[in-house]
Formats: sequence, structure tokens, C-alpha cells
Amino acid sequence: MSEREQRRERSRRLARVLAAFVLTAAVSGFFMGLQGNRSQLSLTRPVGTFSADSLIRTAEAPPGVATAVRYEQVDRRKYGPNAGWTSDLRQLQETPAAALSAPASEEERRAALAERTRRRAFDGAPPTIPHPILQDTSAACLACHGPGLRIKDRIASKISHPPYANCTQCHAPTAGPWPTQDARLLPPPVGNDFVGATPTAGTRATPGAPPTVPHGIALRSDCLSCHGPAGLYGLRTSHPERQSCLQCHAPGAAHELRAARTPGVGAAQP
Amino acid sequence: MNLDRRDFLRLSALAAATAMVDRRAEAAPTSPAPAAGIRWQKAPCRFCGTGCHVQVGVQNEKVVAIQGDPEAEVNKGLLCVKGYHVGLALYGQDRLTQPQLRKNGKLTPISWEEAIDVAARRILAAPDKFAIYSSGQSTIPEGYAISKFLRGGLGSNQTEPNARLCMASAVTGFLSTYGVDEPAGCYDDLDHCDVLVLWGNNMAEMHPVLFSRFIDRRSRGEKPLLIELATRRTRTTPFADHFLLFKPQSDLAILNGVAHLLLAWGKHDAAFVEKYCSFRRDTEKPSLAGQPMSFDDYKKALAEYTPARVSELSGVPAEQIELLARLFARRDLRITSTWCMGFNQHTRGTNVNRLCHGLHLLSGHFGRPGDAPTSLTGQPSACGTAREVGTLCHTLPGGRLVENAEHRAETEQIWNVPAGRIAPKPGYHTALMWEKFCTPTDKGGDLRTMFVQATNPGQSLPNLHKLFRAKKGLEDKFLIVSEVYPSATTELADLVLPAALWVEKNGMFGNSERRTQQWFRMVPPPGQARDDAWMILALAHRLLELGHPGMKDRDGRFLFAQKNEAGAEVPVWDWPHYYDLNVDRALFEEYRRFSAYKHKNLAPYDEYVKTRGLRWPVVQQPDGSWRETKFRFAEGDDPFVKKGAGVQFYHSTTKNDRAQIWFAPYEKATEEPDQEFPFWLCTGRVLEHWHTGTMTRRIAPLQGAMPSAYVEMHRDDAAERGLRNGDLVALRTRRGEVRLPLWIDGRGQPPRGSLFVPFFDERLLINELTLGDIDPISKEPDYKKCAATVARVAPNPQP
Repeated sequence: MSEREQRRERSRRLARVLAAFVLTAAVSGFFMGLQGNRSQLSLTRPVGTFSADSLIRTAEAPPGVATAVRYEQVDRRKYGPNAGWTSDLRQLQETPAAALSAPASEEERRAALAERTRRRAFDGAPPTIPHPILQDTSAACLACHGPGLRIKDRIASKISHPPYANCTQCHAPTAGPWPTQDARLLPPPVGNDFVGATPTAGTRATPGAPPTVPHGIALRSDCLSCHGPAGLYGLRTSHPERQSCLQCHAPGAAHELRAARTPGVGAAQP
Repeated sequence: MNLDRRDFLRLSALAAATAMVDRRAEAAPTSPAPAAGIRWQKAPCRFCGTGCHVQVGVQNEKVVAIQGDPEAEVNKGLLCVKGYHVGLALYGQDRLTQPQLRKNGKLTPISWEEAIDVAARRILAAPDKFAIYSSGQSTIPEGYAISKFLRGGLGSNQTEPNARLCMASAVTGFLSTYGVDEPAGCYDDLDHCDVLVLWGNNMAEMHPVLFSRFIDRRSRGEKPLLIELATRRTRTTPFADHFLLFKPQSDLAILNGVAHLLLAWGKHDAAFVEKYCSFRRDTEKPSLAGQPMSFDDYKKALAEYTPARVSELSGVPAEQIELLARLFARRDLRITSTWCMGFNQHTRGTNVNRLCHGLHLLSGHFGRPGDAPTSLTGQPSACGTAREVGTLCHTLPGGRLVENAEHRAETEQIWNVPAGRIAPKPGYHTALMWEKFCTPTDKGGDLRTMFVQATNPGQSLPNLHKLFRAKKGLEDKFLIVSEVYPSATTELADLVLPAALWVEKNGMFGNSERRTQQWFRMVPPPGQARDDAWMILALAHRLLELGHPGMKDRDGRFLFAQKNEAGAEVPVWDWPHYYDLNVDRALFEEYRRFSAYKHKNLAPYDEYVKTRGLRWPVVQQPDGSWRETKFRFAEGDDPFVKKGAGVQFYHSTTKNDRAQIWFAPYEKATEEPDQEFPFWLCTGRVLEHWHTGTMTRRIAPLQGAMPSAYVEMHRDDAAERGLRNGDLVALRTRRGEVRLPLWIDGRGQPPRGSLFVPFFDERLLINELTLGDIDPISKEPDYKKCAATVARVAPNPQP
């Protein structure tokens, strides 16, 4: 082999190594890049809804490019909705698929009503929010509660009144969000002797007749938000395929304020 | 398991969220009770000035449930989180149930007879050194009883409502523009407008039901535009199409800037202005009347408010000011403006109210559904009681004035009291009243006995050290407080009277849109708690017994004598007989005779029983029915507008059916940040608590969501000072210091250089720090602007 050929062979080998290196870097870089962008985007809101005051310094980044979160924001996660999250899916229990369409047992119904009562000051009060929330927008609530979500035994109930979308107007979190757990800064719990109305069952005109609706339905437009697959297990309908609920289940007169609607009725002086 | 990334994230959030369910804050356990047997009755909500109607569910003489009233026009069945829980306000465990007198420094239970006697003798000893401080939460009959007792009985005008602290600048704004108080428009404007401009009004938290009434239109496919002007980001901001962040006090400049652009572009409504308006500016010494100015002078005065200059003053980009002006320039759009405490609690509150009305008039955005400048109230009857009945120190019922001899004579006539009984000199306005009460007698503090009803001045007055806490230790001062719970006010009280609350008594309120509402007593008050109106009647009768000559009318009858249908005298001052007849109805029917003078005509009591309120003027139709008015001064709806007039300002201050377009300059705030106190301090409210929190802090679902006051700060300001979220900080102004947790990116987000503290927390009295400087015309204090500084006291123990 001539010296010239040896040199050519060496540069060819070098070029191959170099090409392999470049290719590997490009391929892995491409995928890492994709990955990185996706995780960053998932941590932030779309660019454009931010102002100079918000969480991201838009000044340093060209428009359309999301930047890394700042340390202060990492801190904020400590009391956000994901603060207690550990990614152990084994903790979740599977609901047998067949069970979802079987009629609920009396015991299941009682359990569901107890759960329902626990989050309401009285039957008919808007439920409190059983988890911390961010202060931002209704969009954050509707991400889960818009479509409704059931993953194994975890439920985010579906909104029953989509036209009313200012969630925190009626629903307040049971606790927080609050920047500190310093007990000295929090007042002692309040004492209140209020005893609220409790849920009742619907009535049946004859044995086997469909029961009446045992609660008010004003403002609500979606029975399946509670009685469908993303509702409390014990409240589910056994016949979700029949979609016109009020065809068979009449609103209970006691809950619909009919008497109170009539002028003069209920106005007598005590 | 097949999860895509989005599902996985949702699942994570969901699992975390449900894992954090906190037992501590759950609703109280309830004992079973059948839903059957719940009796439902209507009542306006006890809390804010929106005036939603609720249906109150009563069982076994207790409130057990609340529903939004589907028949109510205001809220159409919807409520807010406070409204849904309003029933719980009655049942806090520390309800006051017995009269208490301070003996040797300690509040000691006494009988009602003794309590009324002690109070009456204090008044008798020095009637001219006695004052009543009532409230926009006092019912209409309560306010009327107070006014008649003081002015018609004691011959004194020392009465003020706490509404001076929240509504007075709106009143002077309306009076100086239209010659008569209260909005021309109503909530229907929110259904009709194409653009809603919120002037410093965090509507999502303060008037949530009205806010929903507007934004829910988006769910129906409409696209009304929401423009928010504010000094910080709030829960309203995410809903706004345009957010104009302005520097405190520069609202004056922005309003002038928009008016200037309209004129510069020739886009003001020349025909409307020509026909219905004239121009006015203030006198050297600020006054309600001001002085006329020509259109040319008006134009000249505005010339300096160019977009560049306004932008410099306000921090709002010139394009955004132009955007606002472009909207007001379009006659095809309907524009509604709302405002609340941002405008009113302002050392130039009257002027900024005037300018907002002026902008609507100049641009012709007035008199059509959806085209209106409307002020919102914070209290359920600030309009009905404080403003219409007139519990202010200078007003007589129905918009009459103490200083006007004719008005006094008319009032004396209706009250059947001797001529000259009503004193011609107004009493002290709120700030002065409390200053006089808290100043030692030998240093000119000439008020000795104060009777507070349905309000909590110990927490809500500004500059509390000077205007309230200074009472402590003044031996000859005597504070009588009618309250439902122990409060910052009862803490210094010498005599505490337990009051009936909301549906524990009959009542009437008047909301922000001129709607008069009525409800009946549904449950008995706890213990010995009694109605506020009864307290006034009982005091008056005791004074009669003690020989005060003013408690009799011209015919020698007791001022508040009542006869039943059979014509027999009913001793309503005697508690067991108070509900023998409907005292509310009797007082209202008497008050109603005052209402026609300012065309605020009211219907008979029984009409309000039938409805969910009626908006005045309410006039009787030929068929005998009673018709309310939605849009005042507009032909076709307002029965007092002449045919063919189009729009008629029939109470014009210039007596020519014209409204006044005012010019008022931008002026600096009375205290601005400096080197020592580098921050603006703003105070206000939060969704879950109502005003001083006396009721809402005792409602677990509300208190759990918002447990304590806090101070909001921009993250960069915090970073610069090495402060972290949750640190305990000392907030200081020239008037005092309060220690609060720091909240970065919390409920609201102030810009750099600004702080915000809510005032609901009685443990952390932010009003010990506020300024107390007042508007020269309305005498309303500024709670929104003063200079403050912050330093760390202790780091967050669990950062």
C-alpha cells in the first residue's frame, strides 16, 4: 500500500468515525430535544398568555419560545395540586368493568351519599373542593372536570353545569392554597351549630315505578356528571344508554321550590 | 396499561389532589333530618349589594338549607359561595344572646330593661352629645326609625352610616352629574352590553353573580368584550380580553386621556352633548356644585392629556388608551362601565366618579340598554337605607337636605312634629364623628355617647389608632354596640346589645340597581337577641317615660305609636308585643310618603311581598298594577320623561334637563411611596369573606378556604429583599405596624412596588395602617393608597 493510499484509508476511517458520531449525536439530540420541549411545555402555559409580571421572563426569550421555570416557581409546586403526588400507580384500585353498569347496592349508595354529604354544608350546597387549587383560571379546573375523569378508583367529577364556568365563584377549596403551614398564623377552627338538611331518597308512585329526582335540578344540565361513569360509584345509573333521564324520573316537588315560586305563597307572617 | 402523556399528567394531578383531602376542613357532620317538612321562603342575601334572592329552607325553627331563587331577576337561581352558605351565619357558637354592661372593666350580663334604661339616661343627660352610627346593612325601616328618632325626636343630625366609607363618592358623583343619586342603568345592562369596562373593580370576587351574568353570555356563543383596568391582577383578570394595569391614582388621567382622544378625533357624540349636556368644573375650594365652563374651555383643559402624557402618568401603554378611546368612539357598540371601591375610596373620589359619568355622556353611551355608567355597592342596603332613607348626617328621607328649610318643613309635616324640631345644621361626617368621640372632652371631643348598629367600625374605620382605639381609657365616653358576634367594636363597648340577624327579623333592603326588597322573619333569634328597630323604638319610649319632650308629636302622641287594624294602640316598644303587628310595614308605609319628591317612587309594602324586589321609580298603572323602571331618564321606560324628549335629566342641577360633564384634573395622591416607605399599600376584600368577616369567619367552608389575612407582593420585590413565600413580615406605615404572612403569586398579583392586604381578619387589623385622608366633597376616606414598607420578622418554618 502506498503511503498515499494509507493516508487516504486513514482519512476515510476518520471520516466514518466522525460521521457515526455526528449521526448518533443528531439522532439522540433530536429525540432528547423533543422530549425536553414537551416536558417544558407541559410545565408552563402557552406563551402569549403571559405578561411581564407573570412567571416567565419573556424579555430574554424570543417570542414563541418557552424558557425554563424559575426557582421560585419550583417552590410554588410545593403547595400546588401536585404537591403530594408520588407516582405509584399500584396504589390505585381497578374497578371491575362489569361493575360500572350493574345496579349499585344499598351499601354502595350509602357510602356514596356519605361522601357527598361530607363535602357539603347541607344538601344542595355547592361541594367544596377537596384538594388545593392554583389561583389561576377555570381552565385549570376544567382540564379534569370538563370531560370528567375516572381512572381506576380516582374520580374527577364531570361539570354538571357547563354554561357556568367561573368555578371558584361557588366552589371554595376546603383548605388553602396557603403559603405557609405556620400554625401561629392560622386562627383556631370556628365553632358553628348549623345543622344542614341531609339527602333524601326519591319517592315511587307504585312499587317498581321509576323514583323521582331527590334533589333540585335547577341550573344543572347533565345528570351523568354524577350518575354517569365519572360520578361516585354508588350513584351510578344502571342504564346509561337511556339518555333522557327526566322522561321517567320526575323532579321531586319538594326540591323544586314550586310553592315558593308562586307569588304570595309562603309569605304569611309567622 | 395504555396511557398517553396527557392522561398520565391528568392522572398524576388527580391522584395527588384526592390524596390530599383534608378532613380538618370538611363540612360539619350533619344529623339526619328528612327533607320533607322544609319550608322555603324568599329573602335577599344578607351579604353584598348585588341583592341576590335566596330561598331559605327552614325546619324546626332553624335554617337548614339555602338555594338560589330561580324567580329572582338579579341572580336567576345562581349564588356565590358566600350566598350559598349565608344560612350558617346565624349559627356561630359565640352568638351574643344577652345584653352586657361594662362594670369595673368587665362586660357583665344585665337585663334588657336595665340596658335600655342605661342607654336612655346617657342620651337624656346630653342629647346633643349623642350620635348613632348605623350601616348599609341596616334595613330600610331600621334606618328610617333612626332618622326619625334622632332628627324628629332629639332634634339632632348626629347620624351617619358606614356607607360614608364606601358609597359617599358615588353619591356625590351622581348628584353633581344628574342632580339625583343612584345609577340610571341596572343589571340588565350586563345582558345587553357589547363591552363591559371594569374600572378598578374585581368583579369576579366582589360581585361574582353579576360577573357570571356577564361572562356566562360567552357560554351562549356571544362575544362581549371585557376590559379590565386595575392596579393588580386578580381572579377577574384571566377573563378579561384587555387588561390595563395602571398606577394608583392615575385613573383620573386615563379618563381624561380617553375624553381628550374623543375630542381630538372629533368622535364624541356632538348631537347628544348639544341636546342633553353642559360642562362644569370645580370651584377653587372643591364643592358639590362647582361652576359652569364652556365646551372650548373643556377642550382646552383636556388638551394636555395626550396619550403620551397619560401613558407616562399611568403606566398604561398609549395603544391601550387609544383602544379604549376607539371603543367609546363607536356609537354602534353598547358600553357599560362598573366600578366600586377603586373609584369611591379615593381622595379624589367625587372627581373620578364625575369623569366616568362625563365620558359616557360625552361619547353618548347613555340611555340605551347596555349603555350605562353604574356604580356597584358593597352592602345589601347601602342604597336602600343609607342613601334613600338618608341616614347621612346631612340628609333627610327621600333625598331631602337638612340645610334646606323647605325640606325640613315637609319632613316635620309628615312626621307631625312641631315646626323647628329638625335642626338646620348637619351633624359630623363619619371620620369627624369618630374623631370627636375618640378625643377627650376637654380637648374638643364633644361626642360622648355613640350607638353603633349593624356595623363594625373597630375594624372598618381607617387609621384605627386615631379614629377608634383612642377611645380606650376615656372615662366619660360611652360606646353602645348592637351586634350579633363579639367583634373589634364590642371589645371597646360599654354596653353590648345582642341583635337579631337577617331572617330572624322582618326586613327590607335596597340593592345597587334601585331594587327594593322585602323578607319576613322566619326563625326566632337566639337567647335574648332582639331587632335593631325595636331597640330604637324602646329607647324612644324610655326617653318618653323619662320626660324627654321630643318623643311626642304635635298631638302629644308617641313618635312611634302604632295602631292595629282594629284601631287599638299596640305597645310595640314592649318586646312581647313587637310582632303583634308588622312594624316594618308600618314604618315603610310612612317612609314611602317621602319617596316621590326625587322621583324615587316606591310601591306599597304588600307589592314587595309578592315580588323579588322592584326597581324604583315604581308607578301605578291604569289597571292598578305597579310597574318598575329599568332605565332611568330614558323615554319609553322612565315614566317621568316627557314624550319626545328622548333622554331627560329631570333633576338637572342647572334646571334645564341637562346633565353635567365635569372636567377634573389629575392630582397626586395625598401620600405616595418615598424612600422610607417605598410601596403602595392597597386594601380590599376577597371572595370568601364579607367585609370585616364577623359572619363569614364563623362559616367553616369559607374560613377554610381563606383562613387569614396576608400581604401580596411581586416576586421580584420579594427576591430583592430576600423574602420568601410564607415568611412572616412586618408591614409598616406612618400609622402603625401589622405582622402578616407574605404571599407571592397568591390570590392576586400586584405589580412591582405595590402591596395588597385584605381587611377581613380581625386578628390582623390592616386599618391600623391605612391613611384616613378623605375626599374633600364626599368625605369618604381613601383605603386604597398609602405608603408602606416591609421587613422580614421570621422565615417560613416550612418553606
